[in-house]
This record gives sequence, structure tokens and C-alpha cells, in this order.
Amino acid sequence: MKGQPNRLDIDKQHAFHGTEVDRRKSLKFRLDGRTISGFAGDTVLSAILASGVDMVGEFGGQPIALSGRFSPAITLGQGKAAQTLPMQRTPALDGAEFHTFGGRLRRLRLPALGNRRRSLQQNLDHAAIASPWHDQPPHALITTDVIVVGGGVAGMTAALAAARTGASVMLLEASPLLGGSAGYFGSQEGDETPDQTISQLTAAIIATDAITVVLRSQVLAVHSGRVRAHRVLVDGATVTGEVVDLAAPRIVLATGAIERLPVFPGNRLPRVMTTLEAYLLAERYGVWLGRSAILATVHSAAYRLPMLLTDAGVATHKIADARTDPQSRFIEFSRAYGIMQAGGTIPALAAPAAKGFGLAVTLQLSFDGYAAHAEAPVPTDLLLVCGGWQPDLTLWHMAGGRSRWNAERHRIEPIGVLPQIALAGSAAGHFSKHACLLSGQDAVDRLFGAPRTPVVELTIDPAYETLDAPTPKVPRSETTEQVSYLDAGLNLIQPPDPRPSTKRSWWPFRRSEPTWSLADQPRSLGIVDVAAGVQLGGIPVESAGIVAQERTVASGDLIDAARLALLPDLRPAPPASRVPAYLVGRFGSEPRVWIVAAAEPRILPVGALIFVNSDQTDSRHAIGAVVGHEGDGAIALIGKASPQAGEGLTLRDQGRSVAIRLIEPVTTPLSGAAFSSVPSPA
Amino acid sequence: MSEAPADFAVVGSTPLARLVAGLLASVHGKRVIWIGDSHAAFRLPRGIDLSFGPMTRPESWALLSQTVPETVKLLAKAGGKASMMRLDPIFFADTPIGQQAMAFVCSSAAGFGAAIEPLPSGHLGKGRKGIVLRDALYLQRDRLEPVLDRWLEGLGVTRVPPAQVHLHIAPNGSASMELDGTVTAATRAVLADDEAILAHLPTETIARLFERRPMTTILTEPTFQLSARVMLQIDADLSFMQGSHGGVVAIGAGGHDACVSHIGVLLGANRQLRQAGGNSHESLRSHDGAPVVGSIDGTGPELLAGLGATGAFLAPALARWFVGAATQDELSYFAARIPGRATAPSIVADYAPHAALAAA
Repeated sequence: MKGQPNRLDIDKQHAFHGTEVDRRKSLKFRLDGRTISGFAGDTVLSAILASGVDMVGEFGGQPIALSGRFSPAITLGQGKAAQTLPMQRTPALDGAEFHTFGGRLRRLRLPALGNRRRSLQQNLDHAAIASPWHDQPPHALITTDVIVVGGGVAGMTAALAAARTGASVMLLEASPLLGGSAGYFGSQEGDETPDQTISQLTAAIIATDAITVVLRSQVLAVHSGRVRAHRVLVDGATVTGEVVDLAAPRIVLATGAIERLPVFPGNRLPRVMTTLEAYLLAERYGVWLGRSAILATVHSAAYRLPMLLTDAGVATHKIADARTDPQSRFIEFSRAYGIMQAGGTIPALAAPAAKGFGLAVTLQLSFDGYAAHAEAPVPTDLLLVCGGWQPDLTLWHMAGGRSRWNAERHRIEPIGVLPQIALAGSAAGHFSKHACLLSGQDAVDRLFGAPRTPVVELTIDPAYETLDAPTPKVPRSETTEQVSYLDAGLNLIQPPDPRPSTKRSWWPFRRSEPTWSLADQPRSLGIVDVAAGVQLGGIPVESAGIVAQERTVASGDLIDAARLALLPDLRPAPPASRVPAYLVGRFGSEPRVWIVAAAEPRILPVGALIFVNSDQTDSRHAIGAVVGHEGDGAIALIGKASPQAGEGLTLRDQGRSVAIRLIEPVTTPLSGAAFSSVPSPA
Repeated sequence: MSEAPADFAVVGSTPLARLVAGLLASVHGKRVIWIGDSHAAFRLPRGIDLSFGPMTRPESWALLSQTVPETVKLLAKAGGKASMMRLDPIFFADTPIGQQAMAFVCSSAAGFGAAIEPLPSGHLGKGRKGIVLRDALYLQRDRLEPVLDRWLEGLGVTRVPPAQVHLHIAPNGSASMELDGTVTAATRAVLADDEAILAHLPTETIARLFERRPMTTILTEPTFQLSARVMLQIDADLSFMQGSHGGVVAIGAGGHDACVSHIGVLLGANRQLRQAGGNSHESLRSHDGAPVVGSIDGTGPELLAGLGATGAFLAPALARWFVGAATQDELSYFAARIPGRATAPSIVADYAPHAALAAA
């Protein structure tokens, strides 16, 4: 496979040949002038990774990994923002000319020498990774009966259940195929395999006319019975993106769970990869970075990956598990493969290897608050990490859903219900495939007011299947240049740097150390950022749900939102013939309306108070006020007993006294524009 | 198991609730239980605390002129000096009715220490009129809350998180609380913010006394510098506060979509303005736009509502009112603003923008 160093061989029988690619059909396209090789069925991202590019660019002088959750937008040709595409949802097209969006402006001038070939050379200090489709207006409004967001097993079940009620259903899935991440988690004893389940559900959906499946469609926001999605449309050799609004009275959110990133220095270097992303790249596209790996996990299902890799010819040096004595059938199986395991061990540091593209990974014994000295660095091509799972409640929060921190499970979980929206699957907090399938049906039951389907978890006793440990967190040491990040997503938020200030403490201008609070970040947060913030003490446990709800918002341009919505009319027709409510009783019980005039020519401003004489300044002692104008005269509300035409009074205008006279009482109706809110005299 | 009753149970999470609880305990020697959250540093604000507000009644300005210095001293004593910021907020209005009300805000404030200057025509945009209020005090809730929490703790005021307590308020205004199997009673309950009233007052009573309004808070990513750190569009009931990062918090009446579109139009002409956070909540407004202070018909819990941005600065007078130690002016002011007063017409009515943004 010339030009594709990260494509797994298929000379042996293994699970990672790549279900989506056709290796008989090679293709080539160009990205920023660089030739990328791939196969039919690749996405732009999978082809780039297969071709040996694994780095987006640099942030703060440190390289940042390219991944499905962190990749720049691209355009086909020299496109504009409106024609941008996400590389993880865009198919690789033979002969296409792609460009990273804004890439020319933001390209690094001097990328580190060894990184040129593997990097997209984006200068991330200059601007964050953009997702311009968040700012695009919708191209169309589509109505349907039920929208299901997420094409995993829960979403597929929900779509079928909704269709059985006679409803028309739109099933939106971000990736190019249905099935979600069920394959990663494997099956339980006696249960059918995830592949079998997905095949059956897919066949049933294809056979159901009422269900429209829209792949490559990322939902950007859910609000007020509407879903806004960005979809990638493929028509032969043309690929376009468009934003659409979908309206439905019932919405199921089966958005799955996001894999947490352990927080340690170097956790976003190229070749540090979360296990689910690595699994999906290998399983769907046959892409794998390197020929050796170390796994650091808090979760048992991650042990499946090294076993599958061994079959594919990739050696796993070690599995480090944050749990001291983890029990799991997967662990037993992996022992049979002879893979070294280390309990109570977490990744402490990843640094670029002195030679080649690999890493030097430092592991550390850590349990019950005890942290031993770090082990000697171990070279590896790839560090696989799994810091546990956070239900993806982003859309749930946007729709107004609430949540709270579950201290036992170390994650934010949904609470309460929404009238038009139901959660299903991992997003609802379920664990087993069995429960996810049932929850898809139950979500539809709830939305349609049907008898509910009990959702039962098929869980194994913790004595045999140890629960996930909290996401590991290792502070940045004084000696390392590597930094850590809270999540693998678009936000590059770092935990506080515990290193002492380099300024001497007696230095008079030394600034006090700021208290780190994640909620202070002047940007929207990802739900995993919030979960990590809770574990790092940047958000109190009791505030986790509130922060998640308030800060995980759609990050669209408010101005575009303003253009889309009808600006409410702030100029209501003024009420006819009545005193502004706040003047009732102000100048006695029976104030009269008079035309007043200044002794010298001047305009008497509305709101100016009128006093009996110029000595008085306390506004409580005013006997009247100017409330409008008619022609050249001012209209005043006067509360003085027995006022007489020609009588002199004092008006105060910005602290100055102005002599005025009562001209005449108003007995005729005045024009509405001048005097609509003041009564005519009785 | 039950303990001797406390004198007051103050329910609410705003600075006003905290200050009233602390004043009742410190100045007036009462036993106080405070039921409130401590989220200010982590949640988007639902309100704003400013020593000036869009008040058209001179007696409101007169009262405030007495209580602001008291509150400042109190906050300084409690260690909250750094949480007070002196600034020059701008009030502005687009509509003729709003501009008329703003003129009365200016004239009513005269003589009570507020230096108010009109902004030059066109300064804020075509057809928009504005005033700048010099030397106002603004409370930074995220900084003030932990200070007041420590102060309350030092005063022996028991803090109970609302989520952990079952609170029952009797028709006579007393309260009983069950927390971890322990029942505690309080002779009088004070519902000190909208959230507390919405949670504990019967729906029909709320409907009789108040108009329920959807509100939205939006936080933007850092953007251009506003004309002032704090700006109030009084005819849209919209407040803007720009933080040190450059992000703007906007709190407005209306549903999310309407509020977002309005904020976008106001702030975003020819600029990109991105949202970094948001929430929707509910607020209460009296039918005449004036504050509601005291117990309903002389019985039931004490209510504090509709005090607007200046509520926290009225805390010393409110605490005196609750213990029967109010001055004659305070007594007159609060007695005229009790719940259940005549509101059509109301002799204490204040400006209330009736063109608030429509709910989405």
C-alpha cells in the first residue's frame, strides 16, 4: 500500500481489514497541495491518517493530534466558509483538490523539522479550529413526525419503534454508517454479537419506508421542537455541505457517550488516541498508527482492543489499568494473549520519542491517593487511552434538559424529563447493549404516551466486572514541557498549572495567583470539559449540572441567529389617554393637564419636574412634570390646588431653575403623538 | 427530633437574601436559618446588583440614598470590599415610552446623590437615547458570594442547600424544615428572591400578585468593548455586563430565541458575536411594576420581589422592617408596597416595560 504507512495489512485474518473501504479501488486526492492516497470508501480523515499525517499543527509550541474530534474544516477547491466540509464526514474523492479552511492564513511559518510531513501545519495559537457550518443559515426546513438523533443501536431501535406507530421518522447519523459504537463493547455471554444486532436493525430500517436515514449529518442544535443539522451530500464526484432545520413534535436523542481523555501531560500529542476512535478507524477503514501500542484504561471493554490488534500484527507492550485489581472477562481473555498487565497504574507523561514518530510513555503506580515514582519511559508507536465514558448530553442541555454529577460513576447524568424530547441509550446513562435497545423503545413509548418498556441492564456483578475508575489526572510536573488538556475535543482547555510562579514572592508587582475556575472560561464548554473540571476541582460537584446546562451551548453566531429570527417590535402603540402608571398619585389625587411655557424661549424637556418655587430641589416635593409637547408648547401634569392661568412656577432642568408660566388648561383632545399617555382634564 | 425554633428562615440565593439573613442575625440578634445555593461563581447570573436602577419614584431614590452607604459599610465590614466595583453604567431606551420613563428616572433621582448625564444624541445609535450614571456601585456576585457565605457562617447563620431540605411554609408564615431526619422550625419565613417565591408560594397566589415572565441569560465569547461595563436597555428590560475577559452577559426578558435575536441586533452590527453560554429562567414582576415587600394581608411568609437591580442595597432597611425597627420613611415606603395592595391604579406604580420581548 504505497503511500499509506498507517493502513493495516490484510494478509492475515483479523477484524481490522476495514469494512468500509474497497482496497481494490485506490484513489488519490490533494490536500493543501499534498498528495494523499486512499481507497474508495475512505473519508478524507481516514485517508489522511492512513497516509501518515497525524498532527493538526501546534498550540503553544506543542504538537496537537489530528482526530475525528479535532480536525480542521476543508473546502473542495478554493471554497468559502459556506462551502466548508468536515473531513471526518466527507468521503475521499479521487482527483479532488481539498484545502484546509483558512489554512493558508494560519499555516505555521516554521513547523518543527521532523513534523512537516506528518502535520497539517495549522497555527492553533492564531485561531481555534473552526466549524463554519455552525454559523450558516438553514438551507431548508423539513418536517416529520419523529426525529431520532444518533444511529447507534438505541437510535435504530427508537426509529423502528416510532415507525411502528405509523409515524414518519428521520434518523440522523453523523458518521457514514449506522451502528454506532456497539461493536467496540462486544457482547455478553449468550447474547448475540453487536454485528448481528446491527445487521438485523439495519435490514429492518431499510425495509421500513417510513424511516428516512440521513447519514453524514451532524446535529448542531436542538431547540423548541426543531433540530438544526449539517449534512454532507455526495453526488458522484461532487460533495457539498448544507445546514437544514428539521421540525418534529417528538425527538429522540440517542447521542451516545464520549470517551474521556485521561488528564496527563502530553495527552493530546500525535499518537495519543482514545480507544473508541482507534477501534472505529481500524474496524471501518483498516487504519492504525504504528505497529506497537500501550493501553492505559479505566474500563474493561478497552482490553478487547489489544487482543484484536494482536491478531492484526500490532504488539501491545502493556495494559495499564487505573484500577488496582480489576476483574473482567476481557481481562482474563487478554491474559491468555500474554499481554502484560499493570493494575493501579496510570499514564503520567507522554513525550515525543527521540527518534521517529512514536512516543516515550511514562507510567506511574497510583492508587488510593498514593502516587509512586514514575517508571522509566517506554517507547511505543501509539498510546491508547480510555478515561471512562461521559453520556453525550450536549443536545439534551441545549433543549433545556437538566443533569447532575453522579459521584459513584464519575460522570454527569441526565435528570428530569422534557415534554417533546426523550433520551435513549448511553446518552440516557445506560451501559449494556441490552438496555440501550430497550431504552430506544421506551423513549418512543414515553413520547407517544404508550405503556412504558422496562429498561433492564444486563450487568455483571462488580465482583466479576469491576466498575470504571475515575478518569486519571496527573498534574504537570516542574520539568516537563508537555501540557495536558481536559478533553480531546475542539476546546483546548488546560487544567491549572501548579508550578510555582517564577517571580519572587516579595516582588511588589507580583500578581496574586488566580483561582482556577472552569466556569470562568469565556467560551462554550464541552460536556467532557465540565466533567473533567469537576474532577479537577474547577467546578463544585453540586454546580456540575448547572454549568453543564448553561455552558454546553450551540456556539453559533448570535448575529446570524438574529437575522434568522424576527426582531420583536419594541414599539407598541402607545396607550390612549392615560397617565403613565408611574405618575399615578405622584402629584396628588387629581392632577390636571396644562400647557406651560418658559418665561424665555426654550424647550421644556419631558420629565422635567415643576416646583412651586426655585428653592425646592427635592423631587418628592414637585407639584408637576412635563409629560409631552404640543406645537410650541409643553404639556404638563400639574397637581397644585387651584392653579391659575398666568401663574408662575419653577421647572428644574438638569439642576437649573427655569421660570415657567401656566398658559391654559387643556380642554381639547391632543394629538396622540404628543400627548397620548396623559389624560385630558376631567 | 426537633430543635428550638429559629426566628427567621430566609430563603433565596441572591446577595439580597444573604444580606438580609446576615443583618437579621448580626444587627438585630435574631436566630436565622438561610436556605440558599452557592453557585454564583459557576452559574450565569439571573440578575444584576447595582446601586442605581431605572426607578421613576423619588421616594425610591430617597430610600436608596440612605441605605447604599449603610450597605457599603456592611459589605466592607464583611470583607466584601473587593467585590464592589465603582463604574458608570449607561441606561438607554429606543422607544418613546421608554425614553419618557428615562427622563423621569433622571428627574426623580435629582437631589439624592446620583450624578446623571445625558449622552450626546447618536452616541448609542440612531434614535436611541441614553444617560450615564456616574459612580454607581456594582456587586460582582461571583466574588461577593463566598465572602458573604463566610460572613454568615461567622454569624452563626445555618446554611441549608435547598436541594437537601424539605421546606414547609404554614399559612401563618412560619416554616418547618426537615433535613437528614431533623426537623427545624422558624417563626417567620422570608422568601427573598423570585426562585424562592416560585418554589414555595401557591400558584394561584403567585398569579394574583405577580406576572410570571420568561427570562434569558446569554454569555458571549469575548467581543468588542461596550460603551460601559454595565448597560441597561430599560424599555426591553435588558441588562448587559461586560466581564474582564471581554465576554458579555446579557439578561433579558423573553424567551431564548427572542432574546438572542435582540441581543444580536443590539451588539452585533457588522461584528461576529458568539454565544458561550445561556440559560432560561423565570422572573416575577408585580402588576404595577413596583416592589412587593412584606406578608400577604399581614399573614403568610414575608416576600421580597420586584426590587430590581437595587434590591441588595435596600437590605438594611428591609431587615429593620422585618423586625419592626424601620424608620418612619422606611415604614411609609414599605407599607405602601405590601403584597395585595391596590394595583389598578397603584399610587406606587413604577415604570415597567410592557413591551418586553415576546416569549419564544
